[in-house]
Amino acid sequence: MKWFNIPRYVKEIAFACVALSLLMTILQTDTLLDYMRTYFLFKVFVLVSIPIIILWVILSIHDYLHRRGIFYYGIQKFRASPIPRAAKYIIVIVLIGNIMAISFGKQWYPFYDVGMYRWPVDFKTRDKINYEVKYYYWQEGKYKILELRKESSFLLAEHFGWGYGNDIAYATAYFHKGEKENFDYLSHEMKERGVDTLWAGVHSINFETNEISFDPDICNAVNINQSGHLYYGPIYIPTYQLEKCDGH
Amino acid sequence: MGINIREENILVRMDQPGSAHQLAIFRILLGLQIFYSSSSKIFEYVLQVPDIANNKNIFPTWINQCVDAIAVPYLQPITQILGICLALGLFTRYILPFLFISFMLLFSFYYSRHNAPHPWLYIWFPLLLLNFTKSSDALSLDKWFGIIKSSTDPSAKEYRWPMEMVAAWLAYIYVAAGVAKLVPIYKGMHWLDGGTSQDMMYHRFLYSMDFYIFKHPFFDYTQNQWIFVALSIASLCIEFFCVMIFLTRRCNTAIFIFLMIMHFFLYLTGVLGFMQLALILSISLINPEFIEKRFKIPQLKTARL
Repeated sequence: MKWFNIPRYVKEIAFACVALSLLMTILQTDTLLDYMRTYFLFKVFVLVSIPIIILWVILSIHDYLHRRGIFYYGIQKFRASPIPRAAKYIIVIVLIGNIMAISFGKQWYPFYDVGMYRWPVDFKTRDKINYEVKYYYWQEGKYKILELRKESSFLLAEHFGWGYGNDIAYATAYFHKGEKENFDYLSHEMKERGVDTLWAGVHSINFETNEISFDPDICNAVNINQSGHLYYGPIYIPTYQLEKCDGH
Repeated sequence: MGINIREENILVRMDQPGSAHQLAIFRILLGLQIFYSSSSKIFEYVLQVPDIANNKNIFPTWINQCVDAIAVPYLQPITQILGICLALGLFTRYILPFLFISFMLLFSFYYSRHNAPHPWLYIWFPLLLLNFTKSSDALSLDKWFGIIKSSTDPSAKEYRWPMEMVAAWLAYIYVAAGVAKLVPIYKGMHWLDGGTSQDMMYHRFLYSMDFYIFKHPFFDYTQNQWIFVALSIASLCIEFFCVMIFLTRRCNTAIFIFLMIMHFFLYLTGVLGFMQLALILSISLINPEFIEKRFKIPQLKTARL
């Protein structure tokens, strides 16, 4: 396909995507000047990007003033749409707010860049066995693991039920797992359900053999918890468990 | 079969016939979701576990201070009650502004303490839009009790633009998520190497639905790097594919299927549950004509009897 056969709006959209991704890269680099001083390639990148962004802005304004192009079409169509006038103003405000959030890669509630998991993570752990320290309790001589994320499932929940959704499951299992207040909350909830004492034990998966095991040894849990390789850091282990373990 | 973007884009579609029942179904589901979300124990929890996430919001400090004091005792029950009223379509026009304000403030309280955009991101803008619509013209107590006088034509244009804007919101959420992963450009390629997906699946397995249901991982998560690269590329492709919502309706079925597959896979691997929210917004992807036909048939049968 020859360049001149491509529809104009496709070229416009493609150019806008290039210019905007360059602009966002510059806006989202917090230490821009340091980067430019330190990395020669980044300096070249910025020096090339700026004329491209300026050219895109000039062409877009030029097209709009000449009543052509996607921006002119979009604005005119939007103005003529059956949306009530007040709603139109609100939509424009929301649009501007979200464009700012996306461009700067930041959030000002309720404007959001939808940047969950945006930063790449290096998967360095090659250990075949992964450990997760979880709370458990004894019932009729057998240990039972308190599966915090399972509780958020309507069909699989054993304890918490209504009101215990994904948000709180995530908070208790990961986000706040190292805090005493999180343990106190769970402990209180479980006491209301007839479970007096929660202990921490070690759940593990061997990805090579697919073997999954749970070790209720309270001292092993303390040791693994201190190893420093746990997802979202160590879990809060109650004082009574630490004291009992010290006594052994 | 070529796509005529000039005739099929979202701005043109706003001028086409809508469906009062589609808008009503969306209103009901949104109301139920708001009731469900505002009934979460997370609000009491974040009071007890005072970890301030320090997320910024657009409100002045004095509003934030007020919200801290009234969120759990007042805003939570108010949002629950108004959410139910929205689902029932009771005094819809009067309760919607109050519901919007209470919802925004309640989740501002939640978000300032807990760094997750769940579930307010999907809800707030559609809820704001409903303030300007006749969402209680069908399937509502307002209509049942004669509180409102609905439009005579259930396929009127005024029912179409809100649904198209909700579809645009759905597209924004996923396209912006794709953009966020690729920009700044210097880390975009790094994101595609699959490390993020691998780290997540490896570490979350013992807290995932995959473990709870199947009891074993799909494969060895410490190896098979190419699978994680493929998963990362696939997720980006699905997110960017949502841009087609702006251009044509023809891809809506494919978009819906891909989104559901993606969310179901994420659900299995232990990522927060966005599937329910995506399902609600996906009501906007259904052809309004299809929904109106479903509601016209029983009416015609009744008329014949």
